[in-house]
Amino acid sequence: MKNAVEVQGVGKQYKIYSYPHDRILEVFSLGRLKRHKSLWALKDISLRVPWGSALGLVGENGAGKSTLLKILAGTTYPTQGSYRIQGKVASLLELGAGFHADFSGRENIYMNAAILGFSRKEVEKKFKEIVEFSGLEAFIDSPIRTYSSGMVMRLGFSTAVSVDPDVLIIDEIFAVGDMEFQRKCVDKIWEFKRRGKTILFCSHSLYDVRQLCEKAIWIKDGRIELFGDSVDVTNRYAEFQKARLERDAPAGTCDARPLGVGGKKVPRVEKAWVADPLTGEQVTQVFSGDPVDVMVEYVNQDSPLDLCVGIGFTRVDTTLAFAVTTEMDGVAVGGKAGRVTLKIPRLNLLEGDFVVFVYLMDGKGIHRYHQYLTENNLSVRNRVRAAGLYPQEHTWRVEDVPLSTLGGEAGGAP
Amino acid sequence: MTTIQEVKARHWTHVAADALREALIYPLKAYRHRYLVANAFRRELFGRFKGSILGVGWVLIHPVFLFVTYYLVFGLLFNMRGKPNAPVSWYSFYLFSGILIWMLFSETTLRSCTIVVDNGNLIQKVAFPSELLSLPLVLVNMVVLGVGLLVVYAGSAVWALIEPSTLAITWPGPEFILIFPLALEVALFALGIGLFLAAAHVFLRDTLQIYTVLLLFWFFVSPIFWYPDFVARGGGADFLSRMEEFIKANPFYSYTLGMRGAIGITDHPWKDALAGVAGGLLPALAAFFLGCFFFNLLKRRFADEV
Repeated sequence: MKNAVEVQGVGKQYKIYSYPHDRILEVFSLGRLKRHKSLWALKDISLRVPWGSALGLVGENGAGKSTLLKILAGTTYPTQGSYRIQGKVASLLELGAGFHADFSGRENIYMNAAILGFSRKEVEKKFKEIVEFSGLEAFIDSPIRTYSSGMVMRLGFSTAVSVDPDVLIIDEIFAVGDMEFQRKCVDKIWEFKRRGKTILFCSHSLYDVRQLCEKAIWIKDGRIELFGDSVDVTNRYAEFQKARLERDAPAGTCDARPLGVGGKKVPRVEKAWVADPLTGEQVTQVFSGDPVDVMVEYVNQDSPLDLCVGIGFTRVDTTLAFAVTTEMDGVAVGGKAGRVTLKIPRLNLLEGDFVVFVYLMDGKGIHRYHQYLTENNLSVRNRVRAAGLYPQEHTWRVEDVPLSTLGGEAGGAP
Repeated sequence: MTTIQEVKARHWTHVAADALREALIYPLKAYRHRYLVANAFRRELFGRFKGSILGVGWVLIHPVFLFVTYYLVFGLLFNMRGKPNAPVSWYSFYLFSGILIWMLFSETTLRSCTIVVDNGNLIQKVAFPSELLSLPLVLVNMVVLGVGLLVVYAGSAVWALIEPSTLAITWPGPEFILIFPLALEVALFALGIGLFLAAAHVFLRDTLQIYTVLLLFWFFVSPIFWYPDFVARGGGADFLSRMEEFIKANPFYSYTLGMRGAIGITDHPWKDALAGVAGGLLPALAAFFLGCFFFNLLKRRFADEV
């Protein structure tokens, strides 16, 4: 079998009963009464995932992505079709399964690992590694009631990834805990990939899907809409989302939340891009220290409200480099439509790829109407030699110092 | 070398065949996942008392107080004898032993009824053998039974110091060995009914309420605090002879009889203990097998319903 995962015509039907007694009536009528609505969450899904490759799943909420992952993880069963998985499967669908607040971190690792199918020997072998990865050595014998929620997630993630699966199922990258631990999570998933494990990855972050996966499928209304190269699929999906957003803004995606006023359209970002201030043309690559403009065009048809535009730069490893809003700087934004330009005379960023994002918020900068990512990442090249996030202004001074003076200073002599 | 896992949508006849097989290999499955069962057992036993000062000590304290209360109320206050010419302490032991074996059953099944629904999140997100969730409950209640028996014998030792003439039992006789198969039978019986209830509760959330009512009825028709001979000796009315059949058809007639025989408080301990074990075997196996079958029959749909 050269494919790690083979799915053949899988369909999943849910029966929706309006009242609990409807089910009983159906059972006792021996099939003569039909009291449920049937809902096909998945239909005719066939796919093959070769060994060592990563497949991304994109689609809107409720399209069936999670149902497919649950079926492959073995927690729910298909109504039609079949699938084969070769090798050990692990899923990051649930972190910290079976955790109990009153038990210590140690006891919870044992229980969690047992649920995930470890034997006693395996747990004993992996225990040190799990604790080390979680970075919770100092707290491991305290009840997890005393942990912060981030710490609990760290413990869960550490146990889950210690399974060492052949096939890894991920529903969104679990960026849990503090920044350092988030890096570790992402690194761990990349490590799986480097070691030639098969990955099934479902995410709303098209960027992550493009980064991690060679191939992707777009699931729409329970069917495979498109299968192919992950860049193509995510682009097509992004186009579809955009078109849909334009067609019915109030329904929108999860990022464009309706105001709750009937029929009114939510303010949204039409377009945003990074431009060269001299030519006014869109740029995707600049040198450190160059001037850039970030242009944002927005529409605010039905809500005559004050707005706030936020613009930020995030390095692709999710480090936020810089973000600012019009509200922070006391700049008024409003009107039915408009263009806001953030003028940056010197882009003080060092080499790296940056995601430029735009938030359209209410005038106080609290409620987010729309989150927009510019179509292309901004790639920054260095002019100077330095490492890190930004070119710190600096000078050097080098002096000769007699050894005796050094000793005297170190000794703190008067 | 690597395992291939194949899952198909199946016709219900195949699901039934699978469920039959799964029911037969339940012990094997429990053994294969013994680490999970052991962990869940520890959690069930210690989790109940976690954070309390006495901790697991409560397992001992509960039966001691129960026993003392029975003696004070029924023995001293009501001066109940249970049967003619029995020593004062006899009824306390009679009642307490009946309650002990009943509690193994009732506590297990009541907790088991909601076990799948309570662990809904787990069942939706992690693939693991959910039929093993009820097993730790039985094991914990077997520990409670063991502690209860300790209390019985410790109680009798204390009694021997105070009033030896009124003592009903002393040390365990050879018939005590039969307590092991008996407890195993009750455990299987409880596990089977517990599995049935757990699966039914997923689809019909009234199950717990219905069962709570039924359990109360069952408790009172079982010879736990009354003595079966009193009822059977009704005076020849047709209705009452049927009553006797009804009483004896109850598996808890056998289980309580066996229990009391095994601790030696009946007239013929060996005979009664053996009769209890023999009479309880079939209900235990049948309940276990059918409950397990029913659970596995519906297991595939749990994740969609909890």
